[in-house]
Parts: sequence; structure tokens; C-alpha cells
Amino acid sequence: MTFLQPWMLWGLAAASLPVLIHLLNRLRYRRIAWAAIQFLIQATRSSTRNARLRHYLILACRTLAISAFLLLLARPIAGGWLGASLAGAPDMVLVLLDRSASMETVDPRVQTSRREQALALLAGVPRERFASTRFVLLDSATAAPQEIAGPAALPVLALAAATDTAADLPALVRAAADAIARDRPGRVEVWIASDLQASNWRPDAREWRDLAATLAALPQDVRVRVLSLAAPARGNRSVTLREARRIRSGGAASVEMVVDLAQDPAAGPAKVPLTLVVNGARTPVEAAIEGASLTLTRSVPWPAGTDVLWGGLELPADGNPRDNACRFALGVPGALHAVVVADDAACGERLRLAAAPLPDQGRTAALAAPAALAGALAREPALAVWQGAAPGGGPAAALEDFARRGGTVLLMPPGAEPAAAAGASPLGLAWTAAEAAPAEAAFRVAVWEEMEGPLARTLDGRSLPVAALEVRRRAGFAASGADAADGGWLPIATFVDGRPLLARRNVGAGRIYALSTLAVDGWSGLGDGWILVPLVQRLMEEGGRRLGGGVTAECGAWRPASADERWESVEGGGGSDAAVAAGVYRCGARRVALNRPAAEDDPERVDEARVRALFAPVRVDIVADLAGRGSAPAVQSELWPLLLIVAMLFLLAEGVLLVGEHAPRPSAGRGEVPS
Amino acid sequence: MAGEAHREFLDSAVLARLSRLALNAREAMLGSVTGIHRSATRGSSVEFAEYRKYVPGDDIRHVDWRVYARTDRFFMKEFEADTNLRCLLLLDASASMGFAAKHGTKFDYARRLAATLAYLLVHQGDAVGLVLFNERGTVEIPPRRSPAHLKAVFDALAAAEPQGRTTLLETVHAYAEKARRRALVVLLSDCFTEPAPLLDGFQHMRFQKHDLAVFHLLDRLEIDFSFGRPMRFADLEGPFQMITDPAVVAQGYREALDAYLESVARGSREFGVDYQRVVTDAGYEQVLAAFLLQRLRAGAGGGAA
Repeated sequence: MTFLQPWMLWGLAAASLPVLIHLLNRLRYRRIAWAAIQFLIQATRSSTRNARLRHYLILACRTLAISAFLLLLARPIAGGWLGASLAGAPDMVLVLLDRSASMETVDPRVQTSRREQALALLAGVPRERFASTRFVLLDSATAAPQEIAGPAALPVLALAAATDTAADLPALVRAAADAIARDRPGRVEVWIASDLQASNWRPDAREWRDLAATLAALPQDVRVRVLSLAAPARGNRSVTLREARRIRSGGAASVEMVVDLAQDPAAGPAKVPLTLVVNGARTPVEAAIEGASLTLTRSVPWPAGTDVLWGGLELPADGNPRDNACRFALGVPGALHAVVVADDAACGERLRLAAAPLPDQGRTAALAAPAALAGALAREPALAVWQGAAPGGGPAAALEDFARRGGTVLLMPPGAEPAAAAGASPLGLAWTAAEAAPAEAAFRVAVWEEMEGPLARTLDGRSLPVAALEVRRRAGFAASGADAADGGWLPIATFVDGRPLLARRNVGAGRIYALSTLAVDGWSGLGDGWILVPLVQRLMEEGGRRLGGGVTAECGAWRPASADERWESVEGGGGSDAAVAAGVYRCGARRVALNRPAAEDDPERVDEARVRALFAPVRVDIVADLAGRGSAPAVQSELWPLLLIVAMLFLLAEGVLLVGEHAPRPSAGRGEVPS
Repeated sequence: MAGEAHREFLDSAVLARLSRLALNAREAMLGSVTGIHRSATRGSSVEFAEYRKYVPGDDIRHVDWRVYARTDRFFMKEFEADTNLRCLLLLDASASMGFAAKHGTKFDYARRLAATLAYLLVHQGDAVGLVLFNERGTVEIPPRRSPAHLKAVFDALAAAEPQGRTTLLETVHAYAEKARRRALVVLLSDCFTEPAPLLDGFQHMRFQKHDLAVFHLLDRLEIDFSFGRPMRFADLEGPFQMITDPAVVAQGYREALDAYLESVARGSREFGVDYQRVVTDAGYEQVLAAFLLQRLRAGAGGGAA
């Protein structure tokens, strides 16, 4: 129960008035000298129990009637997800809205998506209760606090519309904590509307502990409410692009598209009608699915004379409209160029050779001095190699910008011992002192990523001889920079002792790789070229693919760098916003295909106990599965008519009891002398 | 007499109106002189009463010789005698009689009744005595029939104050024995005592052939018990006090009072007591007039002169 005018509840003190009057009356007794005391004694000794009970009942009726009237004046409302609160409205409400693609799953019971349910619930919040409250919206797609007029406006706000992005809940909560620390409101409530998807919440991330501590340390009283929208997805199918690449065989080129088709495991075998889209032309195709998932491989011929090809697969509308399409965009690979900055001349030379082993094969490479890096990057290389102490200042900024645009950066440790403090680099990496392997046993690689990436098997299925690689000397590297912990570094190859040989990190549209040894004698056998050449070649290709005429990326990970950069949807329906909506966009001569993040299909959810644990010691109220409760949850009904009836009933009962008390007694005048 | 300041319990107008009515004894009385009441003894009036057997020592003048001639036995011929009556006014002077709500104390009321009765009785030639009783002592004025005696009665009434506990039961029993000859006993009291011993006292009176009339005096407030707020009730005859909400106890009080009044009235009927329940808001003249008229009507069958 919630009260629209909770201050009225102070009036409940008035309910004690009948009791007070009763007590005062008892105190205010009058003295009388009484002759017939014997009957009084009899009366108190015997039959007063009923009378006393009746008296107390009358008192109770009066008290309850007054209480009911006062409760009525406080305007209680029942139902609703906000639950009871007597503390009044908070000064500020931060609405953290999960706009990830999984929030578009439609609840078959009410035919609205999870996000729409959340918005309807938020919009249904009684305006009177939050008359003086500031509402700030933090949506997962922009993570920028935006003050809104009130929750009623939410359903029509563009900032609350559907997206194909993923949500980063830790980052969202961090933004909320920052907003609270900046605005310094009094009481704050953080309302999180989310489907608790584990890939969005990342419950294992270490930053949660820090976040919870930050929230708890705020001087304000912070209360977190989580609106858990766990509508089950029924009859939903999804398509996800695993890979799309251009293959040249003979004189003809084609695109090989690998697509994962998934469906509700409960659904039986079915023929799924699909639409194949190639450069805007739509062709119906069909796929037979039996279990929960199916991997489709489709080959599409590359039309002659076409520089850029885009396309994808589409499903008919179903339980989640956001996971029914996947897109790719590919360009014709052009000449690839690599820039090498090395403080070890021998290593630099070998890297240059590995990048361009033969002339006239469309590969070029150039050595550059650290100072000339910016100029070298202006030549639009596909790969930039920086061997030496972790870059800082101008070179680091240039490299990061390069990676952000889609390029590939390879970082390698300095050949000499790193200076006293190698220091953290803006690129999120710091080299530690190199260590030498014991004389008898070199460092060996135990695990590496063989399915894809720079150390993948060759086209004919043979593994690279990574296991045979002998590393005599290696440098350690530690993640550094703003986001500590693993800093987003993903190991690709690790030594037997678990330390990485090769790791990678996504930056904008591109990637940064870190290799912990050098391709020179005394360091490793990389210089033989069996591994170094395919590694560098693949890194160049990867960069070239992203910087070429067609780019395929995750929605939200790659967005227009500035407001001036115009991206136009090439699929018609020009309203889509490249920052948050999947689709194929024209960006200058380039085509960018944006897909929803694959993790959005992951059905794993964070359970409620875990959510509470994440925020501990901050208190969390979780409201779950509101649509499943049968009634429209947003509808809060006022209780005053009921209370009015209750008050009337109490007054009626009081009247009945009173009549009983003062019932006319039969005349006591028997035997009296008539006057 | 009515003009004297300390005898405000006498109202000459009331006396004048009531003196037209005679106070009748309901039964044969034993008086010392001839009066208007039927005597318990056989006397020398013209009215034949009965025959009885001769016992030695009887005055042979009253032997009916004609009967002797027919039956050869001595029968005494007896005649009704008229006599005066002795009236004893028992007036309860305990503190509870001092209770007053709106209409003056019950004691004042009783005093008016007693004085008026005394006046009326003396003026019809009867003897009147007065007993004022409470735990502090008993004031007794033995019955006399001279108008001069009336002054002593009035003085005693004027001097009396209600105080102390009642000695109602003791007094009733004592005077049942003490007033040895058939007498009219008028008890004026609120009778606030247990009904069973009280009725024992009444029975004792009747056993001694006294004509017992009881004026049971109650205040209107004592009957209605109409209070609006909590009260501290202090016992007039003791240290007992209680604070209570009358609304809570009223029902029980009325039930207890009704039961008491009912049992007293029933016992009185049973023992032939002339029981008058008097609420002090009624005028005492009306009460007395009703009392006298009722006795006149009852006496009409009994052969009042």
C-alpha cells in the first residue's frame, strides 16, 4: 500500500483522541457522597464484565472509524510495483533502462516487448507521488544522463526506443553513481529496468564490488529497485552471422556466409522460410531445422565489377523482431600496407619481411621512426607494429585513433630492458621486465585459439606449429589504464604456466594485439617465419578487411565518430540511427553492416539473489514477472471508497453498541407512591 | 407551632388540609383511654363482640344469664371497646439519610412526614412517641397523648442531624419487644441494608402484633443513576470510596437495586407490612394523603368509629 499524501498519516495520532477523552474523563471525575453504595459494590462485583467489554468495543469502534477516515485522507493506493513507502518521494529518480536487443522479446501473454512493459510500468507511476522528483534517464545505448519531464513521457522518448545494441550494466550503474555524485540530490532511487541478461550484467566482473562500494559510500540514501522483465520468449527464432568472407576460386569470386540459426529448444523440426538479401535483392530460401540450432553455410556469387557487396539473411517476424536479421558487408581487398616501428633493428627487419615477403603481391611494408609514425599512418596502412617501450603521448593517441577506425595494431616488448618504469600506456598495456627461460627448457605454448584469429589453422585444416615454438625470453605485460582488471585483454595463446604469448583487445572498430616475445634469436624461434609470416599476414588482412569498402561489426561497437559523420541506411527506411540500430549503412564509399551483438541471444540470466549480492550492502528491491500476475500491474487502485465503507461500518457498529447501552430500562417505579 | 423558625418541617396549610383525614389503625389497638380506634380488649361500648366461657375471677356482671338459663353454663357476654392508639415513629437518623441530590435530603423529608403524622395523631387523641436512631445513640420519646408532649417531639426532630451508621436492624428488633402493647409503628428509613435481615425485623414486629407502616425513602438519583461522567463515589456511612464510570456500572447497579426493591416489597406484602416506597421528589402532602386515604379505605371494612 502506498499513500499519495503520506503526511496525512501524522493525523493518525488523532485516532487516539477517543482513548484520550476517555482517560481525561476518568481523571476529571466528580466527587459525590453516595448512600446506596452497596448496589455499586454489587454492580462492580458482578455484571460489569459485559458492560466493560461493550464500553471498550465502542471505544475501539470510534478509534478505528477515525483511523479509517484519516487513512482515507492520506489516499492510499494498492497494487503496483513500487510497493509500500512511507518515506515520501525521493529527490531524484535515476531510470536505468536496458535497451539491449534482448529487451525486445515479446511476452506472448500481453503481446508487448519487455522494454514496452518496462516503459508502461514506469509511465504508470502516479504523478502525485513524485510531484517534486527529478527524473533522469540513463539508457544503455548512450549511457548519458538525460533529465526527463517525468516517467509518463518515457514511452514516446526516442532515448527509450528499441535498439540492437548490447547493454553494459556495470557501466550504466557507474554512470548513475557519477550522476549522483555530481548532482548531489537528497534521497535517490535508482530504478533499473532490465531482463537481467547475464551477458549484459556481467556478474563476474570485478568492477561490481567497486560499484557497490561507491554507491554505499555516497552520502545520500540510495535505494535500488530492479524491475526484472523476464517474459519467456516463445516460438522465437534468431539468425546470427558467424562469418562472411570473400573467396576467390579460379576466375570467379563468391561470398561464403556462415549463419547460426537458433530456435526455441521446445519447438520441433520445422522448415524455416528465410529471405536472402544480396545488395538489396531479396530471394526466398528455406532451411530445415531440427534441434535448437543449425549452422547454415551459404555461398553467394560476387557480381563482376562490384567493389562492395552487402547482404544477409532474414527471418519472418516472430517473438523478437530484433533477432530476425543478420547482415554483412564486404569489399574487394585492395593493396595492403604495414607500418613497422621497431627499436630492435633485426626484429623490425623481420617484421617488415613477414608483412611483405614478396614484391608485387599487393603487400607493402615500411619501417618508420617513432616520430614519423603519424605521417606513416596517413598512408592508410592495414597494420601498424610498435616494437619497443609501450607508447605514450602522441604516438599512443595516433595508434589508438588508427585502431578505432578499424586498423590493427601489434604491440611488442622493447628489446632492451625496459626503463625504470615502463609506465602505463594509454593503449591499456604496460610491459614488465623480461624473463629468460631456464637453460634446459624453453617456454612452450600450451593453448592457442585454433578456430579463428591470427593463429587459426590453414585453409586445408593444418595447425600452425605453435606447439613447437621455443621461447627463450619473454616479457610480461600487465593491463593498465582506466579499466583495470583484465582491461578487456583476451588471451589468444598462453604458455604452459598460464601467462599470455598473444592477447588482443577491441578498440572501436579495430583491434590491438600484444605479443610478449620478439622475433629475434635469443628471444624466440618466431624469426623462422613459420608462425610470424601467417600471423602478420592475417593481421594485415584483418585490418584491411575492416578498412576496406565493406565492414561488418557489432551494433554499438562501431558508430559514427562525430556528429558530422553522416551514415545513411542503404536498406531504405532511412530513419534508423546507425548508433543503435542494426542494418547496412553507407559511410562515404564504405558500407558498414551492423549486427546485434551475438551475446544478446544468450538466454542465461542473473538470478535475483545474485543481483542483490552485486549491490550489497545497498538495499535492492526486485520486482519480477509483473505481466505474469494476471492483472495489469501498473494500475494502482485508490482504496478510499473501501475505507469510507469501513469507517461507516465502524460508526454503525458504535451506534448499535451505544443504543444497547442506553436502552430504556423498564420503569423502576413499582410500589412507588404516585406523585 | 408552625410559625417557629426551627420547625420549618411543619406546614400549617398541609396540616389543616390533612387534619380532615383520620389516621386509622388497621388492627385492634391497645390504648390507655377511650379513643377512636378499635381496641384489642373487650370493653363497655354498645357493640356486642362475642361470647366466651366464664373463668373464675370474671366480673359476674357480664355473665349472660339467659344463656345460662338455656344451657346451664356460664358465658361471659363481651362488647367491643374503642381505644386510643400508641404510635411509635422510628426515624432513621443515619448519615445515608443525609443524601440529597435536587430535592433536599431524605432526612428532611422523613422529618416532615414524622412531624405531620405526630401532629395529626395527637390531634385525634392518640399517643405519639418518637425514636431517632443511629450508631451514635438513640433518642427516645415515649408515647404520650398530651398536646404539650408534641412540643418535645418537635424539639427532638428539630435537633436531630443525620450522622453515623444506621442501627436500623437493631432498632427494629429492640422496639418490636419494647413497645409491648399493640402499637402502630411507623418506620421512616432508606432501608439500605441487606433485605433478608430487614424482613426478619419486619416479621418480628408483626409477630408482636404491631401495625407496621414503612416509608421507604429513596432519592430520584439513587433510582435512575443518571451520571454523564466518571464519578468518585464516597460512602456516606464509611470510608469506602470508588471511582468508576457510571456508564459501565449503571446496568449492574440498576439490576442490583431492582432486585433489592423487589425483595423488600415482596417480603412486606408477605408479612402484611404497610409498605410505602417514597421517592423524595414527590410532595410529602400527597404521599401522606394517599397513605391516610388508603388506611381509611382499609379500615372501613374493619369497623372504624
